[in-house]
Amino acid sequence: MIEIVQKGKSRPEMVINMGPQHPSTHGVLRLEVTLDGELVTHVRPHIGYLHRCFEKYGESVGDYGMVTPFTDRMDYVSAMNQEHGYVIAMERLLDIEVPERVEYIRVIMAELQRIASHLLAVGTFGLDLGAFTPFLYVFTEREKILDIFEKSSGARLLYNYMCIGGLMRDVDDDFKKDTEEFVRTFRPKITELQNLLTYNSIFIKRTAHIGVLPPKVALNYAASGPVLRGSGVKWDLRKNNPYSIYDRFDFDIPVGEGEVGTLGDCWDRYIVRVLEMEESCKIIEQALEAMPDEGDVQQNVPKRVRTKPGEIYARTETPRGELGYYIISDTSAKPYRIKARAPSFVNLSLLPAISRGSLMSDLVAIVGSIDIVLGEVDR
Amino acid sequence: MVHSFKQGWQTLKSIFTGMGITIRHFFGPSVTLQYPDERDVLPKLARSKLFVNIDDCIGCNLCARACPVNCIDIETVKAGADVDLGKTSNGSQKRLWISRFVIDMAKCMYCDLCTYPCPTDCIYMVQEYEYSDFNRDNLVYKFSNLTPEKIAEVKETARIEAEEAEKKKAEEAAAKAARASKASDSRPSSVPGAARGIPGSAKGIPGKAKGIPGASKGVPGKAQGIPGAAKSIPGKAKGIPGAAKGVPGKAKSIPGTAKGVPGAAKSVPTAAKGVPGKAKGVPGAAKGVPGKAKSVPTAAKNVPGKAKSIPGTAKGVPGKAKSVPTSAKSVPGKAKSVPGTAKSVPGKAKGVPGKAKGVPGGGAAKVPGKSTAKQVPGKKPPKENKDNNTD
Amino acid sequence: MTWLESLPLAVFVMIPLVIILIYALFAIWMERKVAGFIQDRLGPMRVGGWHGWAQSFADLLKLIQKEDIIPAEASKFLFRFAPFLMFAASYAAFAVIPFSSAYMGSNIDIGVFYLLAITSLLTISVIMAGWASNNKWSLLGAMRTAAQMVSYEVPTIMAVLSVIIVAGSLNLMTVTEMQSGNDTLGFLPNWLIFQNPFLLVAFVIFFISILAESHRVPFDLPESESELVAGFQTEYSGMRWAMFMLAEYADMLLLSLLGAVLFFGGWNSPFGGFMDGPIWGFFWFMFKGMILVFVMMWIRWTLPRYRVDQLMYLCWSILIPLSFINFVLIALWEMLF
Repeated sequence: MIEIVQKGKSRPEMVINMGPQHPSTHGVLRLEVTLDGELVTHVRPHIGYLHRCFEKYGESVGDYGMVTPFTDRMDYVSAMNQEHGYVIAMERLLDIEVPERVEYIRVIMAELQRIASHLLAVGTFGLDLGAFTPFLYVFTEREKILDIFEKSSGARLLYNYMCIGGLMRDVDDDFKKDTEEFVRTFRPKITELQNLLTYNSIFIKRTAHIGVLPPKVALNYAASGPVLRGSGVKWDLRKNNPYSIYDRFDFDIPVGEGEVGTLGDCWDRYIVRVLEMEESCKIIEQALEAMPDEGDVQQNVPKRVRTKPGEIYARTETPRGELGYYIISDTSAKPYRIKARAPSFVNLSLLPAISRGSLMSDLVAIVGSIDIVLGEVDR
Repeated sequence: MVHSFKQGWQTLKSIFTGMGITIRHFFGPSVTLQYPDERDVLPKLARSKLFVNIDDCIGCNLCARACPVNCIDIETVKAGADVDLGKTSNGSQKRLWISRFVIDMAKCMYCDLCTYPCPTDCIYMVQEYEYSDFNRDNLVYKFSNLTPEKIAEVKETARIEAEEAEKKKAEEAAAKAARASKASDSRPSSVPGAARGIPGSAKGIPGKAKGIPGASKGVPGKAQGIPGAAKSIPGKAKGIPGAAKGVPGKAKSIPGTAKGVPGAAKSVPTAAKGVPGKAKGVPGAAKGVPGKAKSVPTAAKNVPGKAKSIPGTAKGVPGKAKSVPTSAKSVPGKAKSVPGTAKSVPGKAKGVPGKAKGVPGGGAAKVPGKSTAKQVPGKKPPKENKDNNTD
Repeated sequence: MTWLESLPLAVFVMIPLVIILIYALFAIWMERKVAGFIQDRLGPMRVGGWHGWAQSFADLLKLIQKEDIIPAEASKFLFRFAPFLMFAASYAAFAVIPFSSAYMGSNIDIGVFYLLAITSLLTISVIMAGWASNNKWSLLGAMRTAAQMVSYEVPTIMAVLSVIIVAGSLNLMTVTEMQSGNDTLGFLPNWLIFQNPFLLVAFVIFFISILAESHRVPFDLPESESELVAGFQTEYSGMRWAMFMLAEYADMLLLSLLGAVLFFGGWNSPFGGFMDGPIWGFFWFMFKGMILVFVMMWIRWTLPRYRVDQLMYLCWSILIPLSFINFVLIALWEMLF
């Protein structure tokens, strides 16, 4: 009754559709999986179920400022980082100097968002492996970050907080206090997560030696973010190509070391995210320390964005990797072209390469460890 | 052997560590809220729903322009010179009746971009988040505080005012045109040129034609028909030049212009509004034929659907009368009756030969819309019409 | 025998069914509360007032009302039959469980043997459901289940046999009765788990095995929702699905109660003669069973799940050799003391 594909004289194979409605494809990803028993012989990701024409919208919506809310919607779990990349690109294009205070607030927001995004990635990764509870523990922490965001920007998910040349509004009065409080209470929670999930032996069994991505392959596929660093390549734009004011902070770039398995396995990609959260805490603390208390965040915001013909490519490090915006401007109020280089999309292309020969259950772990957001893959 | 025992012990230890953590949480407090019974207090700046304090709104339309998803729809009507609408809380004088201020919260993406440009800070986000609905129409929020009767009233006032202004200008323009025509002599050759030019312009017009119906008292059906009419005109336009030559100033030429001048097409809907002042649209007709007014009503009768609106305009702006039949032709259902009217027009046109000469000013032909405006400066449309068109 | 004469017998037979139904409603509610508390939530709070105690009733009503969907390409008879077979197997096994000193469905001398045999039917019903659904996920789930349940029967049986060596009887009533009173030291109950140090190891093996037998985390591969959607239950809905749930929870209770009988003295009071008697006996028996059920839930909401090959490795390479060694050691201990 069930269709079995007989390929020549080899063993019978079964083609199975994982997604677009499947509990662990993180959205609407569809994987066409060829199975030999439970062994995966081939995977083909099919994307496009969440395509919302971001780039076309960017070209047709009113003006440059109106594009910002749409960048939020690309990677909706790290919206601040998406905005950050876009406004940096636009400021470079327009030669706008951003006030000191704005830079600090932006960095704090971006790092908080990085923590929130990694929490989600780590939690759902556990969920994919059957550990439900850590997922809700990390969500409790994520909610606290969203509360901070909501107080300052007014929204919990899609903030539209940064604008070209500044911020839409100044931070809340309690911002400094709240953030310090959060960082203080968050550190013990990382330890708890480590005990509950990271060093749980079943979790290690499920992730070590699984989906091994050698550094060379990672580079060849242009992977970035934790996926690349999990393979031991020390590449982080915040250090290697500092933008904003990242060169002022002292922090490390955690890389995978194959601590419990092979270098570049799922566990390494996971641990890089966990360690990055601690590094983000460091950055936030330093930034809170150095942040000027006063300053008009709207001071350098242009009343109307007037562009000359030109083009710009600006890249930033989002929680998922290297996000680049390529913008061509002309004299009109709208961009002539906007192209976004989405890290999730690039990282997803690795999937067939590293999942061949693994088990069905490993495939779930591998997809989870790449941490894709379909909104960004499809744009 | 030792290794595997060690591993087994590690496994059990990590499992018990995990179970220790979870049992601590088991006895720990809950972090959730029992939603309908307990509610979180949203921060002051939380963006949950758009609200408009309509008393402060000056109808500047900035928020609607800032919206990336076009969920705000504003229509305003110019207040009469003698009406004082009061001031907003920050002291700006209000000059426009806000006859429609609609926000479709189903479209809204809560980006907050609309609230920044507002000069009076009258549009802002409020912390109300429980407004789900089974019916999408209920998510369309209407903020205008004018009653339908009031809206009709202010529109009528605005119309009359505009009409008067229009009339004044039309008279001036006619005088000017007459002067101009004398100066230029009637030059038949110039007419064909105009005629040719028109078809081309006709294409451009449909766009405008669409906008106009909105303004009309509510005969949308006609609106759609009109662009079609505009397109159909070119064909007829060819015929016209000949006519023009033959009877430069007179009757024949007039119907021709009607058909051929997309501008006329435009004018019809305008006329529909019943505001003669809007005659601007009908360059050819307007310029040349003040006297043709009579003929139009006839046409109107023949064109069932449009009949209502046309007579009104006809009275005020004879020039528009001509244009109406043209549009009628394009509208299939109405088409039959129209030709008749068309014919009838020439007959009446005879009355206005003198002005016909003026028409060649084919200036209209070059850039129909603009040229008319130039020739009949007085007829510049009242501002609110423009707004309507952009709807 | 007229129907009137057989009525007492029918009531007698129905007692475990009533227990199972009430227990299932309670256990589903409890599972959700346990999950809630562990996850810093409260779980169901609205239906019925106090802590949403009637939530399971509401769920049951919903399930009854749901449309009965049978996939077009399914094998209709097997598809309909599987859930009932599964529940029947679970229910039948309760016949030899001594609920109290006064009640036992069937006091047969090969009780343990019967119980282990009849629960093997569960495997068949799962395969039946998975195959009949004509769904790839169901089939994968069913294949996993079959392998898992057949494999884990071996360590289960070895652990049970270890107890039987000590107890010397296959009749569960006899096994329970010999655990009454206090042990030689005088302060611990005379339960088997305290009588022999190797029985502690046997209990660990037994507990791990029953987790796998009743498809609980970390061995919930048959319905691992993040991989196989819902495993063999994927195509089921409404009451048929409810039968699966009922059977699963009944199975959990059955194996927990078996553990209580074999290691924790069955219906014996933990306080010697205090609070003893048939009614108290029933209470203690269910209490012990529910403690084990709670531990199963606690584990479920803590751990990730094993992979299918690791599951098999754990069974064949660790638990089975360990249980054999343990079996020998227990036998030696019994010979010596």
